[in-house]
Amino acid sequence: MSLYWPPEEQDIDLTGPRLHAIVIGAGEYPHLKPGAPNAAGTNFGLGQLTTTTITAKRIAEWLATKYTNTAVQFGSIELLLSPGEQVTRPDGKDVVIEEATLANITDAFRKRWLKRCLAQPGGIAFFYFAGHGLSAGAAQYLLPSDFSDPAGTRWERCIDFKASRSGMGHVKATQLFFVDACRETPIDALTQANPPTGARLVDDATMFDQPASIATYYAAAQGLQAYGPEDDATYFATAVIDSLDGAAALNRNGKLQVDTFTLSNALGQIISSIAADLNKPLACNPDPSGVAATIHTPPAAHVRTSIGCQTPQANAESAILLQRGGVAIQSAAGQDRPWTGRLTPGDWNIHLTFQNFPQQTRTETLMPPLFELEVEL
Amino acid sequence: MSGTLKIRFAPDMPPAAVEVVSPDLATVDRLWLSPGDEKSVEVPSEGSFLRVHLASGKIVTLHEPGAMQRTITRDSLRSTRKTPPATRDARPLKVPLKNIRQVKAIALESMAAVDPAAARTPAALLDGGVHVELKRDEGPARVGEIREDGACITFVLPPTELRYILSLGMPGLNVRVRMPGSAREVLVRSDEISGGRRIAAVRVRTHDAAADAISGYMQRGDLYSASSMSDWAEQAEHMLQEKMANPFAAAIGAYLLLRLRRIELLHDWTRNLANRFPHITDTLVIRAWHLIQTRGNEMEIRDFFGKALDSSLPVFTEGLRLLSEGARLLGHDAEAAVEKLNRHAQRALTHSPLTATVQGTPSGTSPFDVDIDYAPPA
Repeated sequence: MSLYWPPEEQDIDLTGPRLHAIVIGAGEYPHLKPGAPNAAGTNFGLGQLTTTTITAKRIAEWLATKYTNTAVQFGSIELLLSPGEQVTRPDGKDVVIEEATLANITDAFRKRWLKRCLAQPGGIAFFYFAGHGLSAGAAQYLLPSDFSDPAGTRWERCIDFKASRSGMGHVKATQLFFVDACRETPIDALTQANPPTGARLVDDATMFDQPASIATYYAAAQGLQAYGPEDDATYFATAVIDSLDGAAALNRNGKLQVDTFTLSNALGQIISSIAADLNKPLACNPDPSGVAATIHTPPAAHVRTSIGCQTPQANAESAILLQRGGVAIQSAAGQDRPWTGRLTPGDWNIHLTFQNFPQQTRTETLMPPLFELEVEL
Repeated sequence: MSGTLKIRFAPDMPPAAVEVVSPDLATVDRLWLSPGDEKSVEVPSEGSFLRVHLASGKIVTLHEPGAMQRTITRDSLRSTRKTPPATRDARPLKVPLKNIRQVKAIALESMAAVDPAAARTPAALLDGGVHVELKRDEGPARVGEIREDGACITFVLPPTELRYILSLGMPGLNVRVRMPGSAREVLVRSDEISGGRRIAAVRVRTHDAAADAISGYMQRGDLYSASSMSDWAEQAEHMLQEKMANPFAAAIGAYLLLRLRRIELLHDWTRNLANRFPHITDTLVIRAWHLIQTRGNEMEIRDFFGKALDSSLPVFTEGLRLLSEGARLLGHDAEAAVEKLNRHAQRALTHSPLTATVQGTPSGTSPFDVDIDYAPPA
């Protein structure tokens, strides 16, 4: 089973524009394990992933419990994981989620997700893939869990992402694609006689079918890796959820909304901030087109805030006090730096005190998506 | 108290999108200003403030309660919350640097110091064994000035309707960067960063700062800022009529309007662009996509894509992206078209605004990163 939410197929409302999601988390790749029978004779340097199933479950849970949009209400979530596992749904009941093989993904994509997206115009088609990805030339391939299965040919069990996406041009919905995967080009893929082709999940659009609003958010720029901490969601997923929760919110006439453009902007800035904090070459690649379409209307906006100092000694000594109205947030000396957290937009008084450096005090206007302060002493 | 807020960009400012925000943090308006421009906005309160969205991706908030006439200078952007990078004199050039962001800031500082009159050399070997060569298509190598004891090289270029090609040769890695003929200054820096890695940073400044800004916004997916410049893009048509036609800036304008689906603003000048500059592959891709968006003649669309696939790669990454998307729309011919493009493009750096292809060591194992971007006007 791949229906994560609502509990039953008959609970899915297809009478109006809805958000329908397919979320895939591929972590276990049996045919890429060392010593496993491998048709390709190479695993392209790809191993098992610990972050991607956590990521997929977190995204699915967020959609089921936090997504709000009165114009496009929640519709359904298809979830596929590898390894397949029992997952607790928002209603507290357990459901066994099927494995993210190519056959299962194709089934869920074509027979359920696509059908629902086509049922009514004006909805949101939400696709999230967390797993291995390969890039070759101008193509992007997503790897299901049975990639490199000796029962198939070398490239039979991978998804040609860009071809599948352009095959959806006829779907009259805001189309959102999140590719939380590496975009590296392994040398084996470049040097082989027959370059990869990959499966096209849908091919129903004509040349002239172009969605009014489409956005693809890549976790990595081409040629680069996507990253995540061990046994937690990927940095990209963290940035996506942070943005949807309110860091990407724009206040238009008193109404907060996250749209395809503001999400791009926020993702780019948050990933860049995480890259600087971790000193990793993270570079997400948001790619929106068409009109700005509202994705989510969060109840409140917030500012992802990062406060630190330029030198290790100053960081170690710094005690931080943040004040706005009656709210005070403190971080004692010796705690992790830079301090990161979510703050309400508006004016904040920022105080830093040190043992061996002069006190620093300033007032800053914080606005979504991001505020970064690196104090030079 | 409500009123008219006048915003002026000082002549030293780069073109940028400005967001006007009311004290209750609602967006009042978004504008685009060029150096020396002044625009007015009706605001609900004199406590309204400004957010300048720079093409580099940085957003600077400027708060000046009560002032209904604001002049924004480059200095006013520097004196805000972000701690400025270390001054050039104090910067250690030959020691491992702290992080990637710092290297990016240093590349911009170096760009600011380009001296058109300095002595030059045709090819250069920079720190870390980075070999640099810049040519006009297949022409002779251009001469550049090596600076900072081999840390960087700068090129000052004349305008041309052809492309420039920048080749970077690093141990185990070769990168070819297509550059518009409108490029006037190009800088390449080689800096070591922590972890034993090295960044080859390329910064480009063209004759049209607004086109650079739009291209920078689009590259970052920041259509929120770029969309405020659609009126500039509409004027791109005029760039073809000027004595010194700038087809590259016109192409950027067309790319923006295609991205935003503002097809009505393209009128039909993409035909003129493709007819006059068929050697610039971007113009063929633009025309094909304009015809798709207007449900034009399918044979003509196929013909434009066919010619584009047989030509050199587009100068702009946006063009490569659209060519790649277009190739997939060719039905039975799609597979062969994509295969042809893949052979041509091999590995392309999509985080570069200019088409950059890589040959050599698979990514992840090379100690080099390549960072390509625009530089704001000097």
